[in-house]
Amino acid sequence: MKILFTICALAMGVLPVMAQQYPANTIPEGLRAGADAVVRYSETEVEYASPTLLREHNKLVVTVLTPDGDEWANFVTYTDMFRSLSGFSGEIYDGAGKLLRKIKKSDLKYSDYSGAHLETDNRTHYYELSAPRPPYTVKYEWEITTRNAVWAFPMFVPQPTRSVGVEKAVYRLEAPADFRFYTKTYNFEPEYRTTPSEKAAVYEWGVENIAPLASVPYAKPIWEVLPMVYFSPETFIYDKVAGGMKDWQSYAEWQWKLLERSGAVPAELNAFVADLTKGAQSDMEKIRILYDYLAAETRYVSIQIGIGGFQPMPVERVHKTKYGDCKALTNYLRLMLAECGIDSHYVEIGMRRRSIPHDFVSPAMSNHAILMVPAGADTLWVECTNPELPLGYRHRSIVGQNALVYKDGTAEVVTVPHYADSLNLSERYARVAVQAGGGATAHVVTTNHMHRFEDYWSLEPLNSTDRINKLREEINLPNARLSNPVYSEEKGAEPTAVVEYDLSTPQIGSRTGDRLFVNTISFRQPYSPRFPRGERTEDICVREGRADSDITHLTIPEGAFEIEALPAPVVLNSKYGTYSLVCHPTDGGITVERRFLLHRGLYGKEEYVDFRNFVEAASRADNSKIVLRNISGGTQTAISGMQP
Amino acid sequence: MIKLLICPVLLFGMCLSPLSGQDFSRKFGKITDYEVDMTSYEQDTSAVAVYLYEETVIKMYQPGSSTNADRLYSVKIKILKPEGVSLANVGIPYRSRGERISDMEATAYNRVDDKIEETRLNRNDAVTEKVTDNVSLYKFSIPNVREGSVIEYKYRTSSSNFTLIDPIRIQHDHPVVYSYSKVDIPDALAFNVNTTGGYRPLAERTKKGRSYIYTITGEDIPALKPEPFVWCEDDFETKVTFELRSANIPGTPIYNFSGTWEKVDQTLEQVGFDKHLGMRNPLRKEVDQLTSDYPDERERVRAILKLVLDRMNWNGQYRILPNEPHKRLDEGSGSSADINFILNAALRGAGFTTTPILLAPRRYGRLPLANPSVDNLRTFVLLVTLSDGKNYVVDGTDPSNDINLIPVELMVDRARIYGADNASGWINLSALTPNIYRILVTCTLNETGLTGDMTRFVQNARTYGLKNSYRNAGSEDKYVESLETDYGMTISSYAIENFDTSQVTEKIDFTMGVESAGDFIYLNAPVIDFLTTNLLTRQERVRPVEFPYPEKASLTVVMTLPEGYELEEAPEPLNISACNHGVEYLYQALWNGDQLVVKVDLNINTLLYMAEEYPDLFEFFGLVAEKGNAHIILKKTR
Repeated sequence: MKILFTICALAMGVLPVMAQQYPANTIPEGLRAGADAVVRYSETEVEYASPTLLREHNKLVVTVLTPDGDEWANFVTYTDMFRSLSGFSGEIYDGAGKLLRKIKKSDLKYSDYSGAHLETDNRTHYYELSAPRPPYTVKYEWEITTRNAVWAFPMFVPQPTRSVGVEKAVYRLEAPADFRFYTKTYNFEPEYRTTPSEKAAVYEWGVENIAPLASVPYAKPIWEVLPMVYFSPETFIYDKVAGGMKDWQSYAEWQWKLLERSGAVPAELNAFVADLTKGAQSDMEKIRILYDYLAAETRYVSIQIGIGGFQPMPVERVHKTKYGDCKALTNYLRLMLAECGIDSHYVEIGMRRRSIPHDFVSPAMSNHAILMVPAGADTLWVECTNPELPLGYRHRSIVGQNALVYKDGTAEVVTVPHYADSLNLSERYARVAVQAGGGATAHVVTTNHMHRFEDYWSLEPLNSTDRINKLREEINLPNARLSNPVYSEEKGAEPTAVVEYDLSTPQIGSRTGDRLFVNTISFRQPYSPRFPRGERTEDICVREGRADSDITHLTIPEGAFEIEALPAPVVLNSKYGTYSLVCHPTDGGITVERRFLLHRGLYGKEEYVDFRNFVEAASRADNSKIVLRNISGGTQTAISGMQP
Repeated sequence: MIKLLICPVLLFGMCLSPLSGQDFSRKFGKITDYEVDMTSYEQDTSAVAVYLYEETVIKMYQPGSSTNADRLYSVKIKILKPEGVSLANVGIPYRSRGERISDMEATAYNRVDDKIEETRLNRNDAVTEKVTDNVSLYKFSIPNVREGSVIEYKYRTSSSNFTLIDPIRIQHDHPVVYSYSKVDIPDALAFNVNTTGGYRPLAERTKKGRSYIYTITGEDIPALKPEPFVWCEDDFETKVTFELRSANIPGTPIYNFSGTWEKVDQTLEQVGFDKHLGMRNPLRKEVDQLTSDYPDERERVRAILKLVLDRMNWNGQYRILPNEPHKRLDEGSGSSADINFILNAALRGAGFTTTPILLAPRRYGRLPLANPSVDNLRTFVLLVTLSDGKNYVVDGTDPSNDINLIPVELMVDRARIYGADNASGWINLSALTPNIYRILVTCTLNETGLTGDMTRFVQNARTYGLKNSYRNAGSEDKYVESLETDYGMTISSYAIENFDTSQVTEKIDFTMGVESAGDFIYLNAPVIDFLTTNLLTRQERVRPVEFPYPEKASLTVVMTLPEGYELEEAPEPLNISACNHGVEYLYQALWNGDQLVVKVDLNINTLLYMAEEYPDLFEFFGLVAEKGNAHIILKKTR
């Protein structure tokens, strides 16, 4: 009896302490609507102890609301030879806030798997969460200690993705009073306060109540939308190499040291390069020979260990093994060009991420290296890791991005120029012979320029069957059969990919009685954007400008059909682009001319209806039909091989 | 006469092997000029690389040897196109416990001037990565590899486990010129050896001393690339599998492994499967309440299933045995075994008889008809028998599950009833219940548009997709918005009924624009997008087609035509079927005065179609799509 009483008392005593933690129903409606998960509280405390020691303490509480939100409840962190995970604990609560289980550091698993890299020093630590049905809440606390590579501070990213809302997030930095650092804030205005003292100062950024964002067509890239703050110390020591991040100039001095440390140029390289470029008449010819050598004889293999994440692998090893990562191959080509007296510059660039800013330095801004060969308007931006890319062509992932160009210990931020929208052109010519019964044969030729070249170059290695299977996906005729696919490419600075095929179909379009409804666009999927009717809350971003030109000549056998209706000409002119679709009868047929130019650009959300009207009008025209009427008196039944 | 006979034979022979034996070498380290200089592989011109020779030599337990299994793998690959160079980046997975990789050698061969240049990989350049607790990866990149190179590597896998022989994969993403495997198994070990896949290698077994020697050879094995509508890619890839039947090794107990389903069941019983079947019902209070609330047995089964679904979330793991299921219940999540053992205890607690049905989800391939092993089994569902003798299948891994409705991944055509004898124990779970998708549109047409209502009724399999889209949309408004863009309509009211059941109805009021051209209105007859594109995009196909589930889909449109117009033409009826009524389609447009009725039916009756049937199937769905785009023509009368 006494024991029972004690237990009861204990339970009663404990209950207030075990109060419900973060029940899902206390999330404000504005954060919950449309959210897969909500960050209830996140806290990052960064303690800059010394130039070689950084401690990072994190707290994260997330309530998951839908099955899609499960991934935001997983615990994942990365360590490497400088970073270690020094503490971890976790708790899982049900939707009402009742504790379900506790997690210790020993419950975590880790993996060294580095995917496509040959070798890295990264280690992934994770918790295999066996989650209850949403809603539920996870709470994690963990500590990371960084030694000898205190430079890229953890960023403040309160909202991890569009579909997650945030109740409250805090970032705190504690450092000696004389510690100098820089910050760069994107896409929000956090609350900021600082508590200076003689010895150590505390800086704090915070934000509350960020609503989730719906996914919408033509949205800006995620880094232009999510709130984030970057931090960089004015000076740093990375793996015993000291550098600065006051401006790109001081960072460049550090990176230059690493380039110079990538080892002596092998003695035979000079003779090797001289032999390769022997007989070349111009610098351009030499560049081409060396690029072709790189394309034919080297390959991309990624090795990222310690400072090797920034310092290219020794040139000698690249020359011998004929492999390397982007840094190694870029540096290799740079040194080979130098051997024949051609100036070129090592470049860092960010692909599929934020463009490098002029006014803020952080190593987190770039993830790739390429080579720049200066020549005014003809400047080359050379991708050294993909031999399929033509020399002189600026591919999709680098155009428009700012590049950090290193020249003898200095650096300059330069934008890789875009191509004019009209140059990203896909031209299609189709000759279609309609047969008396409604079937048709066609010969279709498409020439794809610049970025559109990248849409088709994967056809090159394929055999005829695989090419047909791939090309069929863009045909707007359900029963068409393709034959004789031919692919050819022109790999100059303005590359083109030409695709040709024959096609036959038992019926061109759909038939009702004597009428045949022929698509105006049969050899390209019609433009069919999906625009929600609701209010647009974000700006509109067209990331790539492009142009289509489709000319289709239909010949119609005399005495078989008459033209009952042709779509009225559509001509659209707007700031977003131009569109025209004109069908005109010709001798013995119809010619359909379609031209569509969509401009790259960023437009305010208030223009949403105008933008939508333009693209939807284009889409309607793309889906319009030519109506032919059978006047021969007989119709063909397009059923064969089927049991009626 | 004789001449005439010989010539075709000779030609035929030449066609089969245009290259003589000297062209390719089957010796490690010996490279021929032909191999270095070849620029394409005639049998498959799209090959970016070709396996010239692949050899696997396996030696199982030899008395006096320290390792129990020894596997020596060697391969020679020709890189034909730049896309093939990544084959020189090699990653070999192995079990972290009990396995070891050694004796690795790798070399690249290139033509330089008129010599063959050899570049060897330094063995120290290989690295090891821990992937998970159980799996590690041995990785290396062979230097000096480019288009035209021949690469060659070999390595040894030594294992302490004599009960396990990993499958020998004969077929790859790239074609293989010649494949040779030799497996030496002492007669103390008995394995079931099976060859599966579309290509048939030559296999033979000989006895040598106290060992059985299996040799498997293959020539000109085509590449196998992924295709849509396949349940399990592995089912059609050619490989040799080994399953231990018995072991009689001195100093170790005599093992006797499954070779029949009875033995599989015995093995399961030995590892405690039956003990868990008799587990205490942890939901006794709730189940007792439901038993009194639901006198109808079928409804009681459903209520108990919903109770378990409500209490436990599946963690994505398929298991046969549970791991502290009562604790998992408290935590609200667990593996398929944790959940289904709880479900089993609850159903038994309510007085039902249950029988487990053992299976492998679709992605793991079909269960073997002969020589089964317990390793083939990944999870189980339950067969519930009511007092009237009726049987129903239930599973607890998805909140949308219902009586006889289990996730598509578990709708296998070959599952085993636990405890049944070999021949009668098979059960087909792929068509437990009719799957229905029915749309009814009632609308009025005028010169500018259509106004009307639409009812979508979904029964069984399609409810998974519908419920996921609804739940993941975040809110009903967002979901309705996506319906508007899908159908190109403006929705003025929306309601969803019976969301928690396997028969969901949606009711929608809508308006839609139509375009008139002069005196005519041309209108897509089914009004909404329904079967308008060919679901099969590929023109050619290697593997069979496997559809996910049988279904009866239908659309009925009842339209009131505008005054001042008359119906000039409507699409002709079409009634077709293909592949022995595996698929059937019916299209009719009927009218009477100002009423037009369009009715479309598509039945998918059969799930599996051989590659030879593909052209018919392709044409069938092409005709269906053409009809789906057909128009009605209305003409102004005044």
